[in-house]
Amino acid sequence: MSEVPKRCDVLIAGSGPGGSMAATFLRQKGYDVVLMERRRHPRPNVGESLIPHFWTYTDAAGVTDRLVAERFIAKAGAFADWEGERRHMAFRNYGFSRPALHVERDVFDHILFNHAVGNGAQAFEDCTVQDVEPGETVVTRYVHAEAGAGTIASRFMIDATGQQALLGRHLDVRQADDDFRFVAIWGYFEGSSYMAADGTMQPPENARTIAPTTFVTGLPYSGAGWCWHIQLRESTSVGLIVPTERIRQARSQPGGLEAFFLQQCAELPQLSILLQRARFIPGSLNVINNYSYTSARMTAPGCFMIGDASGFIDPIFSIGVTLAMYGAFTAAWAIDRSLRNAERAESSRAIFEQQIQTRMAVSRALCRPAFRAPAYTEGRLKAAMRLYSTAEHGLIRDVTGLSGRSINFERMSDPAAA
Amino acid sequence: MIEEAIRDYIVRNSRAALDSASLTPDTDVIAEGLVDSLMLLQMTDFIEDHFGVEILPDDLTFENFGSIAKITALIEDRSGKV
Repeated sequence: MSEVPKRCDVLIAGSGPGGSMAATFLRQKGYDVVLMERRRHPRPNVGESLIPHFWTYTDAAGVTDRLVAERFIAKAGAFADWEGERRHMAFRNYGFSRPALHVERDVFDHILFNHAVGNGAQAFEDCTVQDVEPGETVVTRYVHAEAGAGTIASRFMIDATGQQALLGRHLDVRQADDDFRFVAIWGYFEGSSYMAADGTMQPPENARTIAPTTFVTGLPYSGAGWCWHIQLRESTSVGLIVPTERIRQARSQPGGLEAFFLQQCAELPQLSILLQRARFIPGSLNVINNYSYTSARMTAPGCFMIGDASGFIDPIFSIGVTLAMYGAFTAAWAIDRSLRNAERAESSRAIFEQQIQTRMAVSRALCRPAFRAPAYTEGRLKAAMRLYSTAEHGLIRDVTGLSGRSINFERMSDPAAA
Repeated sequence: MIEEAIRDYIVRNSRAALDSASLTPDTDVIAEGLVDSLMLLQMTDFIEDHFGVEILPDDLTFENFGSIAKITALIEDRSGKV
């Protein structure tokens, strides 16, 4: 193992899709990058459903061929069973030539990590970032499993620590989202059937020939609670987004959360049919409490927060990985612009902040079952929506409509107010 | 001159399918998908390097980047040529 350096141009904490892609983008521009990962790849991660937009970023990073070669499951679109209505959408109707994917995140994230290393990022696994001091020189403290504690000085730092939200907590800018008091609980099954885009149910062995959809269904006892079913190569990811109070009850019942989860899987109308012959993989249950939050600020002097570290919303639209990659691209752009012209460091940071905050605000508004944005925010959201293409507007309208959330889209896409 | 350089940049760098003959100064390059969120940043670099002007945080809007004519007007405005 090489020694952790004392200085570098950019220190990146976290090597999920955001961190690894940011490392690659910065290496392409010739900067000296250190990438720290608290675990070791390959490691499990949730968020297996990807919209096809992510290819734009993997093209820019030069890692598309490697991802294509992995032959992940190509998905056709989404199928929703929502308040008695069944609707579906297919990405190919919106001009996408490449597929959306269902990916095993341990494999997917590992490919992006290896690509960053292949591009010359100095990566350290089993290396936990403990604390960051923003400033003209950013000082980061870490603990490495072998080398022990140390500090590294960098001109810039990117926080890609995911739900850990290192910098957001440190700066006390992380805000729990009171509109989304939900718990995510998920597990894995073997042998599940899936929904194809034409509304037929297919056995697992057909997943290569008849593309699956991401199946979502609303929970009958909660307007905004829902469930996902994501067909992977060897298993199926099934998750519930459940109101916090309901989970509190479930924890106190015999069998606890696992019994609750399996009972839901057996009772939800269409899901239970898909899982009829499936076997739950023991020990595969995971929980994230209070996962929904935003950050009042997403930058500090020398520092940028990207991906889940900057905020996380309801995962209903499968945009998390794409948002993280967009954050990675924008942070790398802002850092490069700052290092090429120090006088533009402030405005680069302001552009990053504005772009990422706006993107997050749009995503959040689209997720909400009702529209409650203040007038100022509404104006900003409408202006932001003007920057999406016609095809993208059509896609967003139809996808939000699947789960009965298009009311916010209709309001935000009003061109008269843009 | 500016208009031609911007047109040329979009033709060379756009990720969307582009019929370059039909691209006019008033084509809505955002609605058509020719200028997306990545392109907005990449074009900012190009404009700053090529024309020696500075793009400000509030500049990244449809009003400034919605067509070749709008982008040209922004650059002219920033270089004091209006």
